[in-house]
Amino acid sequence: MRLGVLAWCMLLVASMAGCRSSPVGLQIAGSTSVQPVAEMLAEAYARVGGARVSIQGGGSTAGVQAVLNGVAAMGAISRRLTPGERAKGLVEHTVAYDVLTVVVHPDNPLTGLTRRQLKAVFGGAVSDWGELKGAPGAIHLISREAGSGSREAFRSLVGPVSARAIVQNSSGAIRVAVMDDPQAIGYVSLGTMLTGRLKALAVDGKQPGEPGYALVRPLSLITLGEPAGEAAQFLRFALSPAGQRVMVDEGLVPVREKSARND
Amino acid sequence: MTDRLARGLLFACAVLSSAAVAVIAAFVALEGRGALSGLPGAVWSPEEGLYGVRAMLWGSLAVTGGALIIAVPAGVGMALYLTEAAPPAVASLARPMLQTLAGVPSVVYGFVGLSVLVPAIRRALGGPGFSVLAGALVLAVMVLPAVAAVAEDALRALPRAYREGAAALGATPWQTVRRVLLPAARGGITTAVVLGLGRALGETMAVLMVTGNVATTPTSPLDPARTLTGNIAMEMGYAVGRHREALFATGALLLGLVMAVNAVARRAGR
Repeated sequence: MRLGVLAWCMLLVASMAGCRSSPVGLQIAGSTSVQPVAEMLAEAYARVGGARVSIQGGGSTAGVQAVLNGVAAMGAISRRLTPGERAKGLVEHTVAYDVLTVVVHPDNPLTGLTRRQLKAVFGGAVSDWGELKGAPGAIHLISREAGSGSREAFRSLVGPVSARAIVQNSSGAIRVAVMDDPQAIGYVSLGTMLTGRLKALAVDGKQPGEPGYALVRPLSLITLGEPAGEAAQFLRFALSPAGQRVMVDEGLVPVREKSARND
Repeated sequence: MTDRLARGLLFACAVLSSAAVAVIAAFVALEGRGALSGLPGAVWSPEEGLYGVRAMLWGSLAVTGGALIIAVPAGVGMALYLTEAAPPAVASLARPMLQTLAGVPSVVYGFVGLSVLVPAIRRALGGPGFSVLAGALVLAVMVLPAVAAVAEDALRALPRAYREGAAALGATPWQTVRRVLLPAARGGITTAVVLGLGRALGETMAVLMVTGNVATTPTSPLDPARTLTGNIAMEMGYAVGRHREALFATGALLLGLVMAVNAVARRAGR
């Protein structure tokens, strides 16, 4: 009987999900890393009279799927589109840059690592803090789950993560795990890092957020073909000075500043 | 007329619930069929296209087994205390507390485990703290109310004559429990254990938060482990293609496992 009720509930939810794809406002699905900033952006958008924007998490790949299936008009991704995805007609519009921060416990004497050292640590080749001139003791690697945008970005920027790394399925859980353990090392985005008692390591001598810091990933909105209608308007707002101010407030690096620096 | 209507409605309910099980089983097996052959492999690495769940099977069994080793003696002990020894005032206090324990959402257990248990294990016993032990402890607390409640019902259902007869033969309370009550309530207690086993195998959220989710076979209680359920929950959001099939295959394996447990239980309960 209970299962019967469950089946009915599932039907109900499925039919509601069907209703929601009706074109009222704008649907965005995708990266859980982009979700908080996308929500702030949607609020700011509504304040200036924009349409209602609803945002769903699920991950970058889920966002790509949602846009391809037509479930959402726009996707949010925290990695680059793959050539295969681009070939299906998806277009990415980078709206901000997220800074991946390598974090350790505040008691850890280390202040920075090189990218080569990071690769050795997360790949499992170096497994004791003593080898890095820290206090001797096993390194406890904390990583994200396969498929997460943060992990993909870390893999492409640093290298593969050892199969022996502890896996936590949200930035928040990584923060808690590293906060409690003097031997732990993990990676989160700068926005998450700001809210916790964690120590960020410099990479190749550069502090996170400093120009030239290596672990930076683009956050992009994606559309199937060139954006039109509501999606185009929302994208224009995201790239406007007001939209970019939201990015800065959320601890991200705006696209305008980045291009200004590169010039 | 109303009788026939009621019978028809009840029949529809019965059909619907059994159909739901069949549909879910068929759907899961069908979606996962492409990955079933790779399932026995030792390595799970979606990034390299390897989808073996052997390590997770051991992870699930280790965490579940550990939980039962703690929860069954504690739950049956609690039931014995409540039915045989507790003063009514204590029993009327303990029972609602057990029920409350059963109603706490699993994320809450997970969060307490993550912020209290994991650091405590790390400090006291070493290692990363995320471990089979942490998962087993959290699960033990979660299945304890069900085990205790079902075992208590089983003991309470025994005729008074058993206790009176044992007392008349001069048996001590301990002898009564060990030689008369526990053997007589064996069926009900087996049900309690299986109920706990089923819940422990299927529990996802709380375990995922404290076991560390490393997809390697644990060799000590202090090793991290990934469970079958945790594997599905963590990666389903991202999975496409073969990866998605492999997660459905994991679900099919889990379903088969639970069905096997139920079948064994039905035989043992007789």
